[in-house]
Amino acid sequence: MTFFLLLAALLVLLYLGLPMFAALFLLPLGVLLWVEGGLPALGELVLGQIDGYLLVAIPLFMLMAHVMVRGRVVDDLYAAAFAALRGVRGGVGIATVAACTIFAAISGSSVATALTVGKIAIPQMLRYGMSRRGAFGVVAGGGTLGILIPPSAPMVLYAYVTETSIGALFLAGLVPGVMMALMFAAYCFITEGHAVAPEDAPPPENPAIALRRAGWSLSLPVFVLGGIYMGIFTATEAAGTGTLYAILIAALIYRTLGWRDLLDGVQEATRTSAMLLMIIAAAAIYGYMLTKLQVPQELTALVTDWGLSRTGFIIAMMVLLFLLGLVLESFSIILLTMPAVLPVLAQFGIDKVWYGVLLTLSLEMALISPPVAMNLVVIKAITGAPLAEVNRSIIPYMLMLALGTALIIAFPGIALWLPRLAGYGI
Amino acid sequence: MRMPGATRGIARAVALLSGLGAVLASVATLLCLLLVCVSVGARYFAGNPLPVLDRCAGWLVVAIVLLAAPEAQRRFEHIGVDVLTGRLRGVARRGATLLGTLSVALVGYLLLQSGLETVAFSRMIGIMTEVEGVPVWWIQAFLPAGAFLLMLVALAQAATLLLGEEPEHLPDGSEDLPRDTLARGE
Amino acid sequence: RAQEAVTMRLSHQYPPAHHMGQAIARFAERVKTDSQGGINVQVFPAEQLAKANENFPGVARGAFEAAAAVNIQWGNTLPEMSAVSLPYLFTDLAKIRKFPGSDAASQLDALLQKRAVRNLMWLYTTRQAIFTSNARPIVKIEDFKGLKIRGLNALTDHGLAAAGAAPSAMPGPDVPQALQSGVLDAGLTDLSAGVSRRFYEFQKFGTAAPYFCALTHVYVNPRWWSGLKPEQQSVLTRAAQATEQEQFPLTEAVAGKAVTELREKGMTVHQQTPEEAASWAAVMQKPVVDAFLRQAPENGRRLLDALQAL
Ligand code: NA
Ligand code: NA
Repeated sequence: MTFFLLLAALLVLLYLGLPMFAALFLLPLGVLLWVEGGLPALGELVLGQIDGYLLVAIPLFMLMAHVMVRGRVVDDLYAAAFAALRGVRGGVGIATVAACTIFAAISGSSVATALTVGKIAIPQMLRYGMSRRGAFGVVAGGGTLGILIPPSAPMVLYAYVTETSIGALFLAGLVPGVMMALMFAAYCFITEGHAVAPEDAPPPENPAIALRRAGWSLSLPVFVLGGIYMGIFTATEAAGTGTLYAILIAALIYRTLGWRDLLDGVQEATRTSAMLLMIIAAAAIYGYMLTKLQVPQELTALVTDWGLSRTGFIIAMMVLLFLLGLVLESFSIILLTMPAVLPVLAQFGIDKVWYGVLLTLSLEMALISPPVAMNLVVIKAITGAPLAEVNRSIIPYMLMLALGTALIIAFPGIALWLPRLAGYGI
Repeated sequence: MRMPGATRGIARAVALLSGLGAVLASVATLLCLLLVCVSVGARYFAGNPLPVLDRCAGWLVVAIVLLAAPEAQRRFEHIGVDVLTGRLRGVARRGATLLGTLSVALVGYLLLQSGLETVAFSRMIGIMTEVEGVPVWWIQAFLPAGAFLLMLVALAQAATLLLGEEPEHLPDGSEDLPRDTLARGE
Repeated sequence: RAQEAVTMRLSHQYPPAHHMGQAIARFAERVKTDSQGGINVQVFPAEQLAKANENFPGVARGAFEAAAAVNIQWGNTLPEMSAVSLPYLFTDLAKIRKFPGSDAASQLDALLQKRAVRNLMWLYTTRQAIFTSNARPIVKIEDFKGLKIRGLNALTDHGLAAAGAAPSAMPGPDVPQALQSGVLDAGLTDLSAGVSRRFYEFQKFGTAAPYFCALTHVYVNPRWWSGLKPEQQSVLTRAAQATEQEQFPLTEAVAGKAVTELREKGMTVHQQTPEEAASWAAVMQKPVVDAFLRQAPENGRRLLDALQAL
């Protein structure tokens, strides 16, 4: 119960307006001062947390994302997907799912995916006569693929916190990501089949030409994921060389990235990394407090008392994550739960890569579950639609994500097959 | 947005310092990128992995975090939950912002103090890194430096608020999207 | 009486099921029994309380009372600690058995004392390494030519480099895939870790070699120690000595089973012959010893002599 009390206290501080890192710092220090009458050696704790080669991946992935967004490397993707799929039943919606899937494979961010694809796709879908709900839902839902299909910023953090291989996690997200994309596309096929080209639609573009234009940006995920999969680089190195590759493509081929953009991107990526890493550092103190209060042991005992099975525990965790996902954002959810849950995973012999994928699916749900639901804010920002309307649009996507989670709980192989094939010992 | 001259001067000096920190941190990010790429190159083209480069890249992360965090604070960018505070107006909003900045100043103070202790201890015992000849405190020194800057920035913001003025970059609740969603993992 | 019970929080990095994790757990039990509950050793395994590199500052500054470390983790901070791990220098079991309580051990204890921690015990951890690979086995010293290998630490990397290999440092979680895919050509780890980290799943060949000795030691905060009653100190000392002694057969048994187990899982394991060991030692030992003496100019030689004399 201590764990839930602490979570509640933390939420109160956050809702009072404390930045996440300050709340994660001060609450545990207060508790430790009260319980133990003294403070831990803060300096070592903080530095121990942020000084490590594994963390190098974080600023590099952030930089890669900023370069690609600023360099507008992927602007042609939707055009290519649309050219290829406009003739299919429900094609305008399916093209949106396809563009989200490919954009997801390039960016580590769901918001960036929903924002970039949504800006171009929503007006198009509405012109084709898709329902507003259908158009909003597919962007909000499709956007969440950004963190499931690698690269994924939350997966990088999860890998760091749990000392799991980033490469294994990335590969584990790929098949579930494609599975979810297929489910979303099938939903568009079934419910939005009535959408057809308006009278005044321009003649269809030749898909081959559109694809060739998008070719360089499509080579980026091949470079990054192929590089990891073929064992040419580690994930950190893939982030570094991938950033370099993205800079070269944007600057030399698309000519969309000037020095100014690059330097702005570097500065933003740096601040972004600093914000995230401050939270990681503060989470070290929170984790230290949990250990000192023997919270993991308490949680393990609780699970045992309830007589939960492995699957029962996983389901209970998914419910807890869903509840946290209503009010918190991805990184905080990972950092707040993992220190307490990790020992329980070890106790049950639950694979960390598998759990990481399930966690990511629940983070996807968090992205579209109000009141704190970033992808819905994105739709509202793009369209100016009232939040209530946007909120209703995501119900089918929530249900599909829940179905996907259930499938991966029942068949762990969906997630683990690919990393096993690549030789990760899991 | 008018401030008394002294306050404005202090705010400007603090902004300069924190901007300098952010520039250094950005250089660290670029160096990180360079080191990782060179390290890959050394392994494939020269057939000679250079573990030292990886260690240095790890240290640069420490510099990135601690030198850029103050500037993020100055821009009110640090991640928080703004569903509730975003809806407040007037005095309530000022109060919440003041509470936020004061909490950051307190964190800065605690980190400054413990950072100085840590550096002193490492120097006394002579703790070394894995790279020959590099003592640990060279890297640890970023902690008190960054913490000091963070505290300064937050105190300047709190002082401005207490004087009834608006600190720079204070969000006014009109933005739809938070400024950097990537930092939330979203 | 409960109010007089002393708590000793002990942080270490081993998983609870690891043979060293179990040794520390047994020590805790023994202390509890012998002190009739007067000393409560609270063990925090698997870096739960502190990361491996935070243990030393944590104990020295009194954030918690005790921690365990592997000797080579001291690296450049206390290079003398690596003496027992120099290649092929100290891998004879009869000698290792004599280490606890020896002159060499007290030299290291004294160095630790200067670093503000008090050593409590030396636990025998391994005296065999396994060199693993996928493309071809590593048997002759020439087989190292051009191999990208993840070594143990910067110091012993000098020996691998002398053999013509290219040592690289890579974070642990990335190593299996790097070995599987060929980012790295060869791995090097403690023999029993080859089993516990399931190297057989991604490496075809292994050469078990008496390459290095590693000791895990437990150290305590000196101020906390001097605040204990003499009888409490003697309970801890006796429990430490008993744990030191019983660890020899236990570690040997784990290592003995490791080769069989790796073979059962399908790895082709070659046990290095004395002749091969001599030819590897001839190439690898001197550069590492030279680097060691350069890093520990004052105490290094005396320490090596004391080890030799065992
Ligand atoms: Na992604
Ligand atoms: Na949510």
